Amino acid sequence: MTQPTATAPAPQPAPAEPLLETRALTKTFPIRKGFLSRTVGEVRAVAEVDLQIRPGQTVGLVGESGCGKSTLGRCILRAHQPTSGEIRYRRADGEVVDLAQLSEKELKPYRRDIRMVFQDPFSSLNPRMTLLELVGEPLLVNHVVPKNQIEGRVAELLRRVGLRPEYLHRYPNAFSGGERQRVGLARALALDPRLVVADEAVSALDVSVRAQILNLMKDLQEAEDLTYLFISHDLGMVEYMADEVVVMYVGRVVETGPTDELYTRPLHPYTEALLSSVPDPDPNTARRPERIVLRGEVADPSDVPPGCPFNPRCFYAEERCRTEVPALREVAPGRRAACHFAETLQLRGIEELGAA
Amino acid sequence: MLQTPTSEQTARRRVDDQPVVLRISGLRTRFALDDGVVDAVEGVDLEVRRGETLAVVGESGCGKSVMARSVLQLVDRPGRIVGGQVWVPRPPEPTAAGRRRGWFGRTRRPPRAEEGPDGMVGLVGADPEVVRAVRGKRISMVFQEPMTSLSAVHTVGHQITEAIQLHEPMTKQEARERVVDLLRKVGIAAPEKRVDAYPFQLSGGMRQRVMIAMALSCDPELLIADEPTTALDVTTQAQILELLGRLRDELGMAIMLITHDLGVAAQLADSVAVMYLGRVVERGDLAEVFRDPRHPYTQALLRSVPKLGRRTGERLAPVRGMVPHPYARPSGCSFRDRCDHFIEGVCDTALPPVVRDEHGHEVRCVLYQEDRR
Ligand SMILES: Nc1ncnc2c1ncn2[C@@H]1O[C@H](COP(=O)(O)OP(=O)(O)OP(=O)(O)O)[C@@H](O)[C@H]1O
Ligand SMILES: Nc1ncnc2c1ncn2[C@@H]1O[C@H](COP(=O)(O)OP(=O)(O)OP(=O)(O)O)[C@@H](O)[C@H]1O
Ligand code: SF4
Ligand SMILES: [Mg+2]
Ligand SMILES: [Mg+2]
Repeated sequence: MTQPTATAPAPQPAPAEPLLETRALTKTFPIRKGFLSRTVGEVRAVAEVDLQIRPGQTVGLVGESGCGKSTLGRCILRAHQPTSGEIRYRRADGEVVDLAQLSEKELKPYRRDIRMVFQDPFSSLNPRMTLLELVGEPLLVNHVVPKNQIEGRVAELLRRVGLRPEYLHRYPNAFSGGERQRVGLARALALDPRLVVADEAVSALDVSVRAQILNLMKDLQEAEDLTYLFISHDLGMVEYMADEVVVMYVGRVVETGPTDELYTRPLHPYTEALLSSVPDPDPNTARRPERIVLRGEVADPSDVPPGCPFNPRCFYAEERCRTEVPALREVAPGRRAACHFAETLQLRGIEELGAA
Repeated sequence: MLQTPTSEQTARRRVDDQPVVLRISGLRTRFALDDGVVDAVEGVDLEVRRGETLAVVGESGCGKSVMARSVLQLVDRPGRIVGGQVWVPRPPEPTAAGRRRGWFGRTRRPPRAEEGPDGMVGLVGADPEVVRAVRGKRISMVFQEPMTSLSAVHTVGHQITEAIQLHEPMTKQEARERVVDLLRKVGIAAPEKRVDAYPFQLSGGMRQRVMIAMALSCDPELLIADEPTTALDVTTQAQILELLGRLRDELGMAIMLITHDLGVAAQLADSVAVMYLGRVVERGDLAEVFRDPRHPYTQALLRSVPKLGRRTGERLAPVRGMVPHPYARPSGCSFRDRCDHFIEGVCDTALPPVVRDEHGHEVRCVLYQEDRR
């Protein structure tokens, strides 16, 4: 068996400047106890995250529940105030601003540029508002179009996400989950955003409808030159959607890289384990005996193990892993990993796991 | 890279000659609501044999949970079983001692239940005693929402003990030992300590293990697991699936695995039933069905999931349209509005018949009718 090498076969065009970049972005939450709400500790939900999102691309953010994906997304939207670190955003005129430092008032113009699609299509839409009001609200609040043109603009938005404009005056409860998620997308697109953060945007949908929405997101990306941060715990969907993948474990980025390379040749043992855990519907490979079943539970972000946070569950851990925190570093061109042995470990990607 | 299939991958576990532990025939369960009627289960036929794992797959609302609850006569009002029968091997008669515990120690008439072929009894319309003897003891269930099916105010040990003592009288000390043993069996570390934990002190994966331990407490012949891994991370899911597979092999238990995840089904099950709007539209050996899906819905379902490692730049081909509203299901074939092979005047006039091939692969679609081919 020959090992594929980590280097990309074809020369890549010079990558564009990132649209958004975080540097050492950190968010901690206090843990309060007792009736005086004394602070007894803190959770580092996001710990020194460096992330780059290039224009027109989709960056997939994966990791187990509680690893900080939503918190990171919400920091980027400034729905959370980051504890420290930078959020460097490149404006349309090329100037770079640090969103982490801006006041609520200064943030206002950027709130149009970066929008969010929420996970739950049932609770994220106000049931007492019609589609016209729901989708028109951001237009109205931001004075984007004169009042008398709002209806036309909303109808146009609905059409773009595959809903009939006749639905303008209906309420969300008249729609299925997939249709509501389309409304959520229309709402996010109303202000012509440049970056859309989709946090588990299709996870609650049925597989058949989910595929429709994923395809729609791809079409919209092409038509409107959108950039996505696609947050999901589903590695199959992320592979389908993302150009770049970022893998998180207890608040930290443990690996990043172009999707194909990261999936075929992971550099971090956690990525290998994640890929191996995905159940495969192909009956030829479904019961592969060599599946890696991780032991133990996800680390508690308020009590991260010393050394490499993954060491208690890692099959390759050695003494050094229990004491020294591995830094996220460039291991191969375009590939970063936070494992002491990233250069020497021969980890199995999806092909060797039998899924090809 | 070509891989020689190992024996484990090719040899399906043979269960054809094993005794049937559950046979569902023509089951219909209906919810009569104020503003409409939902036929949640509309004439389901299924069979599970000893040691077999049957996956029941289908999208949200297709009736998987209602079907499973109907088996154990656990459908809540306004739902009602309106037709069909659920056949199980006759449970052992309650012991004389057990029966005398009725009112004033009177010996009662033997409990009533419809008699079926092969010494089976029907649970629909049976005396509660018969249902109780089956529930928990012969067939037990892991419900879809682990958090709502565990009490928040009692320790997990207390809850499993109660489940055991319901069926088997034993002392507190004996029961506790049994519980610790069960918790160990489902892979909970330090079970002597965890037995005194409250559900909120456990992670999602551990709670699911507790639920499985509780379901196993009376050595069931059949475990019905309703979406046992849906709320879990892939890594935890892999642990639970491995656990279920191991327990099945060790205990010789049959499993009805309800899931919307085709990958999960493929990993654990021998056979599969695909449901759409209350009906089984395709059923057979899992490898066979997934390799050669016949019903247009099964085909579309398999095409809708992005498969790991098959990133070809190709677009997903989702089923078009939406699942119809439960009050307004189409006549004839219920999939016809979304089907690419729809034949006017045929698919919309009558319910397509079940077509069965020599290997037992069944499909409910007119495209496979002899006289149409
Ligand atoms: N507002 C908050 N206050 C305190 N702790 C929080 C808050 N929000 C998140 N956390 C904690 O931060 C950690 C990361 O949570 P986050 O929701 O970002 O995870 P996630 O990766 O999105 O998980 P999931 O996949 O379940 O959505 C968790 O331990 C969580 O308990
Ligand atoms: N208590 C109830 N009252 C009214 N309708 C119900 C009730 N329970 C279930 N139904 C209806 O019965 C149908 C089948 O529901 P069921 O819960 O069995 O679906 P399911 O296949 O288990 O879906 P999921 O994958 O979402 O769990 C649905 O249309 C549902 O709306
Ligand atoms: S019976 Fe007709 S409509 Fe129904 S699935 Fe088959 S081909 Fe399609
Ligand atoms: Mg989240
Ligand atoms: Mg269900």
